[in-house]
Amino acid sequence: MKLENIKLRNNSAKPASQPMSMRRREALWGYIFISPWLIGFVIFTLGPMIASLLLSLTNYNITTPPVFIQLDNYIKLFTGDPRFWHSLGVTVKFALIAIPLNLVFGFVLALLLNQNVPGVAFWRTIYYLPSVIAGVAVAILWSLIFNPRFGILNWLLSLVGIDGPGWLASPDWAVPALIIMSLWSVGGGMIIYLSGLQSIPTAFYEAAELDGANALQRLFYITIPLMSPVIFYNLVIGIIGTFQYFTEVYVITATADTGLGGPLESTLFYNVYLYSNAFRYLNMGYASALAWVLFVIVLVLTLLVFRSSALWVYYEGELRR
Amino acid sequence: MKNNLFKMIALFVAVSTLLAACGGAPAAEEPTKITAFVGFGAGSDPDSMEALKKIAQEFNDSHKDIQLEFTFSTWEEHSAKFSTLLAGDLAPDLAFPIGIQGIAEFYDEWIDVAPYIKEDNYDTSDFFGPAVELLQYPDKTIGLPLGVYTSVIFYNEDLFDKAGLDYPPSAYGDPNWTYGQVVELAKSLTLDENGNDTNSPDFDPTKITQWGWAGWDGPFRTIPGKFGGNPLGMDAEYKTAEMNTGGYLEGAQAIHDAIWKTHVSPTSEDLDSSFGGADNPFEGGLSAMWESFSWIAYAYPTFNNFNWNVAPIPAGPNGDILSPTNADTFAISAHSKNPQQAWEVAKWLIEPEMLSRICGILGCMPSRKSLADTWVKDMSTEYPNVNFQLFVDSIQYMDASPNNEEWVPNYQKVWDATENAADTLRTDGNADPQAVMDALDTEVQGYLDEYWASK
Repeated sequence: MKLENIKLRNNSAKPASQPMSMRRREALWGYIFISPWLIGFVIFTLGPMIASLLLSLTNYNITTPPVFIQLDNYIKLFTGDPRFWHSLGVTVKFALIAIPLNLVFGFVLALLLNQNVPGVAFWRTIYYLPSVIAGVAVAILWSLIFNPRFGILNWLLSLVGIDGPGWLASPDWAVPALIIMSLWSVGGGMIIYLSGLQSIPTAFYEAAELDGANALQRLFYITIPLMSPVIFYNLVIGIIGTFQYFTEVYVITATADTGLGGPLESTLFYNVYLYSNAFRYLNMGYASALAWVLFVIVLVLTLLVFRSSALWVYYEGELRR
Repeated sequence: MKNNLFKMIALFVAVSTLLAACGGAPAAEEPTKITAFVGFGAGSDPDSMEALKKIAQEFNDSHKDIQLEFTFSTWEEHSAKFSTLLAGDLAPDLAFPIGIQGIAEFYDEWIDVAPYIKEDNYDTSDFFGPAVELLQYPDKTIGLPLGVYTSVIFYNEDLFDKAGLDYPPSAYGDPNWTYGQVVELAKSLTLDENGNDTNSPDFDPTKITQWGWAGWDGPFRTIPGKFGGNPLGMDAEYKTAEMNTGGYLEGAQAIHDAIWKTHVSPTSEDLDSSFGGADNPFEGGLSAMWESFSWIAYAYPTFNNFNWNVAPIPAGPNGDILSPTNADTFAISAHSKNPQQAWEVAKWLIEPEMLSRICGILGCMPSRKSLADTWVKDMSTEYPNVNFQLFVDSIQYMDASPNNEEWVPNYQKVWDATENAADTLRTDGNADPQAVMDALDTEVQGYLDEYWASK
């Protein structure tokens, strides 16, 4: 008798009350253990996402019931709202400069702090520490540093004969000031780079040295390729974080009579505009449409980066066609 | 075993249902809870919160049928917090205190209290007339006045002394006290880093260290009325923007000229700079004159490093005198399940003795005539040299209707656009006021059209 037939016969003879198989039991317990997360996800993430998708098709100002307006919010957003494009432009401009700067600074810092020098643990702590300070405190601290008349930055510039700009008070300098401010938390990326650097086997460097590779060659042919998965990770996180940039601008401009995103809307980031629509103009339907467009933008950018990773991210042990 | 477990669960459910049914209905003597939202103005700093909680306790001790509870928000977060409460069907019964801007932000959310006033035959004669008028809108009366904050000219006596100039007048009625005169005085009081005033040929406008006239503290809407315009910048039906002519344009020109032509006023960048811990050049002792509201007088204990006093609001080019005013009141939410009880709480809060105490907490000038003398006396005890009577005298010149913070369609968008236009004038010396106001007019017309199209 063939083995399959025996199995079939056994299955058909299985009594109804027979206990669950080990595999099923494990699966059940697995679901039970992840159920807090699943329930939380459904209630606090998926549910609101679906609600916001539906609200984006309505005119809803909170005080009165939503009115279904089909795709009007999306049509207005793309065809009749210059502030949408402006806020997107501000965000993209910021992202194009802040993300590469943060990647490079974090990486260089990690390289420096990966050297075997006395007191390195102290320096690592010093450089990492700022990134654990909350965004609100950072914004307040930097708004003092950037104060045009009494800030320490312009005072330092004046020592070398430079008449410092208005920084956050100037429409031309507000975004550059925020880019400088973003470097404050470069320690977060640095610590991830550092862990990546320390996982590179020293044998690679020893072999390269024996072959006569100099420091630059070792950096470009060993370190960077092997660190590319970490750079990739930091890039994806950087893109997502930058397109959600909000707290610092909110803290700095929330008290202004002109609304959020000043001076003269120079810091009207996408999320700031979204928040203004939701909670300042009480235009929840339109704000929901903005949120979904942002979601799509970030999704597309992330997918593009993932797609491009095949060209520049190297995974050790990966089989390539 | 399984059967027993099932029975126990069934019993538990049955007993729970029975208990819930018995205990679900409120006992007859259970007091009605009234929630008052604090955040539409003053009242959310730690000291004020503590003092307001004590007042709630006093109310609760003296009222067994109603219990009052304050819920707090900062000004920056009030809109987000209040709208979230509305969306969650958790609307507070009262907003207290609430200013004209807060009323405008959620205009449809407040009920008409005129029927309650009429029903109780409530005596409003003790309130200053313009303060009552301030809260009467074409379709409803929002509340009764708690406190008002009139504007006056604050001036730094030390800087006047140093320049050898006479102080501005101390009472209304001087025909020479105009904004033109303010600018003339300011020219001698504006100094560059070498001590040259604007009348000197050596004056360097890029290195100003002291300004003669810090401008108007309020929003741009406080200015057009001084030039004979409508503060709201639109027609009476709210359908056509009128922001590029008349008082709006003249006001815009006045701001621009004071900064970029006569150089007596600070730029936007200067205003955004912190002045040794102060919020603006005047408080930092770097400006000789400033038009601001009575509430700023309460901030001066912190900045009291110079002698200051107040002068009347000057007349505009057409002879109009307008004291832009902020006000605090209460508003009852349309979503309140107990508006009658909310009205009872509000009445208790604006009774003379309580109103006086609350104004002491919030920093307002009491809106009851019977309390004015006491307020002047109390403030004069704290600042013996300051002419506090002038704040009271300014009530007759207040912008009661329309008020500078009053509702217009698409309120916040119009507000932001207007303030951004004013900021452009303060930021860009090359900006053409006519072009700036033309752009504002077009933008605001778009918001008006959008609003009416949605109706």
